[in-house]
Amino acid sequence: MFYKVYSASVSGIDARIIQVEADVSEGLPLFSMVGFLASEVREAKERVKTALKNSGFCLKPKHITVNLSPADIRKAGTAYDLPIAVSVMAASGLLPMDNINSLLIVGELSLDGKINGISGILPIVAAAKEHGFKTCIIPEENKAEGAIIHGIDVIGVKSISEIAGYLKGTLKPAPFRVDFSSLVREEQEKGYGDFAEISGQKLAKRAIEIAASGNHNILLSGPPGAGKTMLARRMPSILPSLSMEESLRLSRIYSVSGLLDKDNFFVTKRPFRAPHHTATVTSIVGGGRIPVPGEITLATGGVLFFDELPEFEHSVIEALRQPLEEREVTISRLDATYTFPADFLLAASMNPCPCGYYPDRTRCKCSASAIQRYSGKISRPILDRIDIYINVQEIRYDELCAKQDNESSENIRRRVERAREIQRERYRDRGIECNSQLNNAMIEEFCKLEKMAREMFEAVYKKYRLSARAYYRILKVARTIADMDESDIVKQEHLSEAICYRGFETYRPEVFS
Amino acid sequence: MNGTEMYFGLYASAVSRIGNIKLAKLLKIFGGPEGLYRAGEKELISTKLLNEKDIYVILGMRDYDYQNEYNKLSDKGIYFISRHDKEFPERLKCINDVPEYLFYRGRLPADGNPYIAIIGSRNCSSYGREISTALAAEFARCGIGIISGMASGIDGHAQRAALGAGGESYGVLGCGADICYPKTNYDLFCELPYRGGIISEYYPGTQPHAMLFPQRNRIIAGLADCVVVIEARKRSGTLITVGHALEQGKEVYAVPGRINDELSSSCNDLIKQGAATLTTPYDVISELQKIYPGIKGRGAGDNKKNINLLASREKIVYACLSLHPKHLDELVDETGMRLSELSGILVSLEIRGMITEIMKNQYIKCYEAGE
Repeated sequence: MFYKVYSASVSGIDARIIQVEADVSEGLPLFSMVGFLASEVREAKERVKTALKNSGFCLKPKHITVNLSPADIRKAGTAYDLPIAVSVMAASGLLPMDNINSLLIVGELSLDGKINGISGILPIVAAAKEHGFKTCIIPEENKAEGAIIHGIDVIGVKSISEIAGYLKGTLKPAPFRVDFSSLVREEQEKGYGDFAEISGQKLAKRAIEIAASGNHNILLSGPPGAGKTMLARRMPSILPSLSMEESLRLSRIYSVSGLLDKDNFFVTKRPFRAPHHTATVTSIVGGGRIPVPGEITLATGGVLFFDELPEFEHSVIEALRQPLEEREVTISRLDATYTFPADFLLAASMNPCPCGYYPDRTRCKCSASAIQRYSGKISRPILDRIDIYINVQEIRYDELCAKQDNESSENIRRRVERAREIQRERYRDRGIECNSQLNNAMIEEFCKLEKMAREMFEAVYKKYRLSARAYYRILKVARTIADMDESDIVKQEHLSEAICYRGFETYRPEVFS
Repeated sequence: MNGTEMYFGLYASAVSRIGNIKLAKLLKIFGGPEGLYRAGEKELISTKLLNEKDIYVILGMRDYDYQNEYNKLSDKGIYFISRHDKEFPERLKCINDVPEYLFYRGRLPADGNPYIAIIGSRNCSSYGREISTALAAEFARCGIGIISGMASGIDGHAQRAALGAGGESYGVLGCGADICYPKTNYDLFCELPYRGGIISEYYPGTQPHAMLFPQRNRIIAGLADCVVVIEARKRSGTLITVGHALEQGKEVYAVPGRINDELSSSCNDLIKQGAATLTTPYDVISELQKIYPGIKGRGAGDNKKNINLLASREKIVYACLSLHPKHLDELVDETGMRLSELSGILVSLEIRGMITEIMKNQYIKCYEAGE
């Protein structure tokens, strides 16, 4: 007898529907599986046979053929165990054959018949809804994650006997629902620390607020122990709260990467990813035989922090160039091309020299060439994409001990949200959201300077021998500072502050030594 | 030197790697470079001055065609001169261990002109950088040439400033005159021959070597009328030059640093031991005027810094700055200004050349001589 059920496979951060067909016929006892299978899917045969036996279902010695179609897509992962088991049971007459057509089934089997969780539930359930399925049967472990998608029944099952009971109609579990209002949105700043915990560092805090307001990439340089990492780690706490769509988009990415679990099934916080400097290109941009998202995708909507930027492999830093520009990354493999979102804010830190204390010559004994070599490790194209560059100084004792009322992240975040609101409003018809995304033509249009500012900028341009690219970057940052001030026109004070944050480009090597 | 003398001279200078003092003795014994060239192995041994390695060098160096070598030098624009030539700087002749030969590009310091050697740490601080730049520029404007070692740090800054102020400067190298060391001073290496000279006692092509630098310091001291030391650590190589200068009876000026400043510790020690203290360029200039009455008393510098022209808020910021870098955060605390106002003032001060952003977000005052 022939039977088929529906399952799904994750591809990139989307899912496609896969049919799992089973045929049980007379002939030599055999269990064969076809359909362009990876080895873990091939192994499903053993898991299914044993799990069924241990769940009290006895397969008759017949010729069993299982096909996963469409047969030209490579199937990988363990999500097919359960649909294979169900289709084989139904084709063997162990289950009634009706009502399965509107079902989508995924899950991994244990030998004892238990159903284990899988990754990528969110895109799978979303695809099921798109294709008009009414019910999804997924592992109990993943049910909260699946229930995020509304308009489709999600049923979590623990074992083969449970799903058999459900399909026979003896068990009628209620579809699992998640009440979103119970998801505390205020979780945003929790777990990231608060800017109130940092004393002093006025310049750094201000620069980070500007970076958050305009979504500008930022580079912090300074001696070891100055608090660069501490500052950067608190950055997500002042980014605007996630909207529902953003949360869903992020959850999808995290679902595919297997980073969601029972307690943490929905991304409510902006991500902060800080890969170690030994990270490989693949781990950063994503990849693998079947590409999975890398750090830049996982940092979408949040902050990607490169601590000790010059220590990173040259190739890793170079690989960021395209994603920083396109805000997505395209990975091409033999069977398919995958596009992952990569819309992150890049924060990076570095020491000014190998020992870290330059220009304090009482402590720094690095030679001029060593200092130049160190900062020269970072390629220009990446520095060109970093709008804000500041130096963080070691905090003085009196500042450290002073019981000041530092501003909390929540207060700062309100201002950031306001500035973002202004930008969204202004760029509504332009297809962009914030100042960092302005192209040169838009800069000319939106970053109008008042007369005094224009005159000063001309003098600065000549004095610092700025390049055209630096010119536009300064204007973008000045625009953000003006937005924070709720000013339509860019004033001199906005511009001069932006000049203080100007990028690495204008760094003058003759200043060294 | 005429043609053949020149070739034999080149041979002798190539042999000088056995040591300048030994070479001088040999030249005396054999009556000049030609005698040395023709001396047999036995004669060399009988001088009892030489070890096996020296003899190997002396004999081995005879394999080259010095006529050809000389042509190569001319192609590179390198001049060759012996201590017996009349162009040889008079002041070098009266030091101990006179270099037998000199190679140079450009020209040599003229006998009747004043010269000051400015020397100091290679890893100098912003303080040293500003002071050396300001002093050298003022000396240059007064018509005094700057002698230094073309090293990174104080040496390079001083020489660059002298050229920038339209003066002349000479670099004495610890390698061949055709080799740029350090590479970062390539601008000086190219510019100096036109505005002064690059001088070396080592055969062209000689690579820089730690052993060669203390040697060349005696030439730096020898060519100058006095030596100015800016920022020297304990056990600094600069002290070797100071030693040579004292030996040659030349005045040594030290620029004082803060007493706890490691970089200036040797300068402060020198002052303690009796070196002259330099706080303005005129400390030196007025002394030199006694020997060279032609020196201008004050350089015609474009005194662009007039603090009185600053707005009152700008004065507050300017008063907070010194020659030691100060961070923007500190300035915010000290002036009590808002970051946006402060940044505006800093930018406008920097445009006017009153201050410099030495490193990201760290500012120093620009120092002008005589301040």
